[in-house]
Amino acid sequence: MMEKQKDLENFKGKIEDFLSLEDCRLSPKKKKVEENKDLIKKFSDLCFDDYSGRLKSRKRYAITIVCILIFQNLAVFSFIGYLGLRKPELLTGLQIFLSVFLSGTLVETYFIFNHVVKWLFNEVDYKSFIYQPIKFKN
Amino acid sequence: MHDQFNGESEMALSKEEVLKIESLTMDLLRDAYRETEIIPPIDLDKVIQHSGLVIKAADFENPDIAGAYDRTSALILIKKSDPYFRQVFTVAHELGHYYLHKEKPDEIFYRGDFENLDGGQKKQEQEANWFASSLLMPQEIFIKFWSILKNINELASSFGVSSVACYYRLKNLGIIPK
Repeated sequence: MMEKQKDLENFKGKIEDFLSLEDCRLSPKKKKVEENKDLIKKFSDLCFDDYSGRLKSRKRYAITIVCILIFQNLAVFSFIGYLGLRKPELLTGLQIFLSVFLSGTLVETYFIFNHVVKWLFNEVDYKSFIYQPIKFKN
Repeated sequence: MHDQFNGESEMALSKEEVLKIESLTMDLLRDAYRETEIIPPIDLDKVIQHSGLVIKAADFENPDIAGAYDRTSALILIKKSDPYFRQVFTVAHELGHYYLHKEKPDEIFYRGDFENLDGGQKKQEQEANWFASSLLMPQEIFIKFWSILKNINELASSFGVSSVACYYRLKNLGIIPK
């Protein structure tokens, strides 16, 4: 203790204009810590709800899109098949229109499936959304 | 002086030095907080207590002195009249010297003398500043709060630091462009 006092006096000597000393506490306000804790909890809950909702709905969304696409392709090709069988002369007349229409349908199907695979079923970074404040255990 | 960070100087810290400081502060927080959650603002009393140091508030005749540190007497002095956010940064900065520069027995911390320091001292000050930012604004929690708040002033209030300190931390972490 005496030694500490001596060290302090020496130190005081180095800072010539050192005037007075007081004990000092630097703990943050409890209210602010509680506010932050609450903020983290609300955010985590919100992210969890959002992600669990999105994970459930993406399956339904994908199934709906695929059904619509199957229906659309069946309808288009059935229509062409019908024309080919019943009114082949109309089919010849509509050749340019139908080739553009069919190509368009196939391109659309490709892009929608691409979207379903790459976006709807992409990897989810679960860890970053289910955030836990850092807590260490020794 | 307090707000001189890596981003402002031509002598930036290397990636290894930064990683070393970041992991050192994380370990220090882990040890100081033990099993309790680390929620900002960081409780520097816990860290100081864990480090076996004492903080005292002092009046100085020279208004440029922001704080002082003496390894032998395990004492950190801060300016009594400084606002809270400046005091915590001064203490965190001096803690940086305590942990990073064992060869430095003491320091008197003058506000605004960064440009007058020589190369070695400048680097030590940069390291101590990075340590202070990293201790008061731990990377993972800081990024999470930024993603929620997206506002420097609110972020500063949440971490009990100045808006300028927050701004440089965001910049140095590459969250906002340099």
